Amino acid sequence: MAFSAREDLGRVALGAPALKEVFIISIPDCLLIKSWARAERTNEEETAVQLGTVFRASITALATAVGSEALEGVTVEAKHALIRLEHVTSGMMAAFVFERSAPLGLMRVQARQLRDHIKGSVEQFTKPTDTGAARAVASSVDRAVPRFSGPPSTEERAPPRFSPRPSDDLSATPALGVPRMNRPPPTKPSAPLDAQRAADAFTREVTPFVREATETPSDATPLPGDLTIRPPERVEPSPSSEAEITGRFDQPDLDEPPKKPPIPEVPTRPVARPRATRLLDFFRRYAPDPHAALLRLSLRTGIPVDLLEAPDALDDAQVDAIADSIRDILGQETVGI
Amino acid sequence: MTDPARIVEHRTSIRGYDFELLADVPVVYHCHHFNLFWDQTIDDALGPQLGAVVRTRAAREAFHDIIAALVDRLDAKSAKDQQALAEALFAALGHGTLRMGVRGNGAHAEGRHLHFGTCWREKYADRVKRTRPADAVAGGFAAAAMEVVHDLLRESVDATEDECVALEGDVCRFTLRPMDQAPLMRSVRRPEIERACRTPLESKKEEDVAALAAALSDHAKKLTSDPNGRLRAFGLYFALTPTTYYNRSAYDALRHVARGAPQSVSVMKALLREAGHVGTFNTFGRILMSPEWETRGGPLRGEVEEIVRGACAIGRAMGLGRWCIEEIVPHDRLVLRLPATNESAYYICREGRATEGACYFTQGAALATMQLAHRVPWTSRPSLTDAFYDQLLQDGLPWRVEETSCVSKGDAHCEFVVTASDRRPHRRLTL
Repeated sequence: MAFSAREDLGRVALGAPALKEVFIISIPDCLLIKSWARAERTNEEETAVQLGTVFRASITALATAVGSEALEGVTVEAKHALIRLEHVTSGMMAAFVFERSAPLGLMRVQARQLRDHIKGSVEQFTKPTDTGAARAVASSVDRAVPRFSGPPSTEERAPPRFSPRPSDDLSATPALGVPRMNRPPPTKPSAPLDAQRAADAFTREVTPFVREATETPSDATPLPGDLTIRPPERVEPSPSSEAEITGRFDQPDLDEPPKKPPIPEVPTRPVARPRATRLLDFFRRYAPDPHAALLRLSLRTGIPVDLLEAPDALDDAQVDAIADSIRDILGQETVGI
Repeated sequence: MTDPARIVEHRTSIRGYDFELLADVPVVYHCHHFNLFWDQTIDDALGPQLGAVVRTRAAREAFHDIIAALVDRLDAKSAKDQQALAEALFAALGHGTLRMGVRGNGAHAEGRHLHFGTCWREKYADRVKRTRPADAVAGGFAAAAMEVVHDLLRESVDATEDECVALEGDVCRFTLRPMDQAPLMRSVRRPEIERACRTPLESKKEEDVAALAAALSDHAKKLTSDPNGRLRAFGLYFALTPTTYYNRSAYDALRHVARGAPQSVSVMKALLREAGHVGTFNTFGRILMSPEWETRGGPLRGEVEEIVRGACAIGRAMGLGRWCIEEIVPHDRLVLRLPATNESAYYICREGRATEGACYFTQGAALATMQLAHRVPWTSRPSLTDAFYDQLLQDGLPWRVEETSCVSKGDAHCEFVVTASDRRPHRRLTL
C-alpha cells in the first residue's frame, strides 16, 4: 500500500467505523504528509501543524516530568472527539480522530493497529529492491516520507549560473499542459548580457540570451523565530517502553493494565530532512499564490516541475538556485531552515 | 483640453467582433489580479532587470500610438497642452496620476496611486517583501509621452523607476533619458485587428448573450476613475491598457525562453494561462455577483448554462472579443469560439504563423468560466477573496483546456475546448 492515494488510507480505515480522520505528519516540522477524512473538511494542513505541536510538546513535557523523551502515544479527550497521536517512525507521526463515543481501550487498540499498518507500509516501500517498479513506488513514497541526511546548512552560498538545457519530448499532462520531463543533463553556466541589448535582440532575433545571474545574498540575520524551522531532534521509541500521557489524570485507565515506567533514554544526535525538501516546504507555507508556487520556481530556475516534486533527486547547484529564487520571491535575505 | 470626457469620446469598437479601441488602438480592461500576475510571469521568465526593460518598452510602444493620435485629434499644439493631455489620459485610463517634467538633458516623472505598484502593495505587502519596482507600464507611458511632447523619435526615450510605493516608498519616481532608437515593430491597430477577424460568429442563445453584453457595455462606458486616477469597480481595480502591452511583453518573453531555456516554455504558458484564469475568475465572478448584474440580468440561479452565458456577455462587454458558446455539457464540456482574440490578431500580425494555439489569456479565461460555472456556490453568495481562490485551487484544477483552432495558425476562428481533467490530490501543485 502506497501513500500516494487518499483512497488507500480510506481502505485502511474501513475496519474502524468510529474513526473520523487520519493525519500523517512529519516531525519535528509538523507538516502534513497525507490526510483522510470520512467527511469533507478543510484546513488539514493547519490541523496537522497543531496536532504535531501537541505531540512535540508532550515529548518535552515527558522529558521534564520523568526525564525521558521516549513517547509512544498521546490520547487527547475533547468534548466531541477522541484523538490518538501515535509515533510511527523517526520523522513521522500519525493522528487518529475518533468519535467521542468510542471506547478508550478500543480506540487505543485500533490506533495502534493502524499505526503498525502505516509503519509496515512505509518500511515495505523504503526497502531496497531490484525492480524498477518498486523503485518507482519507493520514490513516490519517499516524496511523502522525509529522509534524514545530516544536519542542516546555512543559506549563504553564491548563486549558480544556469545555461539552457536541451529540451525533452514534451507531452501535456491532464492539467494545464505542464509537461512531464526527464531530468536534463547538467550544462555549463553562461555569462549574462546587458539587459538593453538583450531587449533589442527580441526584435532582431540575432543574439541568443541566457538568464542573468541572481545577486549573491549578503550576510544577514536569520528570519524571526516563527519563520525559522529549528534543527530537528531525533526521537527514537524504545521497543520496551510503553510510556503514555493521557488527558485524564484524575481517573485510572481501566481498559488496559498499568504500564511500567519508561527506561530513560539519552537523545541521539539531531537529524534533518534533505535541504531541498525543507526549502520547498518552507516556500509552500509562505509563497504568495501558493497554487502557482512550484511553477514559478520552475520558470525561474529552469528546473522541471517533476524534479521539484521529487526534491531528493536535486543536486546541490539546483538546490542553491531554488534557495535563491525563494529568497527573491519572498524578499528575504536568508531562508532560515 | 484635459477633460477626460473628450478622451472617452475617442473610444470605439469593432462592430460585430467586440473589440474596444481608443484612437484606433486596441485596448482592454483588466483587473489588478491579472495585471500583477502577468507582469510577475514576465519577470519570472526573464529575470527582474530584463523583465522590466521588456515591459517598459512594450508599454512605451503601445501608449505612443494613443498619445500621438489624441494629440492630433484634440488639436493639442503646445508642449504644455500635449503634456497636460497625456497626464489626463493616464488618469482617465485608471493607471493613477503622473506628473512629468524636464530637468537638464533628461526628464523625470512622479507617479501617485499607480495601478501596478499600489495594487501590489495592497495585495501582497503583508505577506512578502518586494525588492524591485513594479510600474513599468507607467514608465513606458511617461517615456512615450516625452517622445510625443518633445517631438523625439518614437522608441528613443528610456525610463527607469527609481522609487516605488511597492518598495515602501511614498511616491513613484522615474528618470527619463534619451537613447538610441530601438528597433521598430509593425503596428497593431484597427486595420490589423479587422484583418484578423474573418468569420462572424453567433453564440448559442445569442439573443440573451447579446442583450446582456450590450447592457454591460453601456455601464462600462460610464465607469470613470476617481481624482487619484484609480478606477475601482466591483471591488477590484481596473486599468484600460493597450493590448499590445500584454501581447508584446508575453510573446517577446516566450521567444526568449524558447531560445534560452526551452524546457521552461510550457511552464511559462501555464503561468500565462493562470494569469488569465485568476483575472477572469475575479472579474467575471464579481460582476456576476454585483447589483449591476442583477439589475440587468436578474438574480443569479447559479445554473451552469446561466453562468457561461453571463461570462460570454462579460467577455464581450470588456473588449475581449466576441465570446460565443458553441457547446455546453454541464460538468463535462464547454466549447467557446471567437472570430479572433486580441492575442491571435497580434500574433498573426507580428509573430507569423503559429504551430499551436497562442491565446494563453483566453485559454485561462475559458478555464475560469468552467470554474465559475461549477465550483462557486452562487446562491450562498460567497466572498470571492484571495483565500477562497487559493482554496479552490489547492487540489489542482479539475478542468483542462485545449485551443483546438486559432487564427494565429491560419484557422478561421479561435476555439477553446474545456473538459474535465484527472483530478488527483498529488497534482495539487501544478496548474
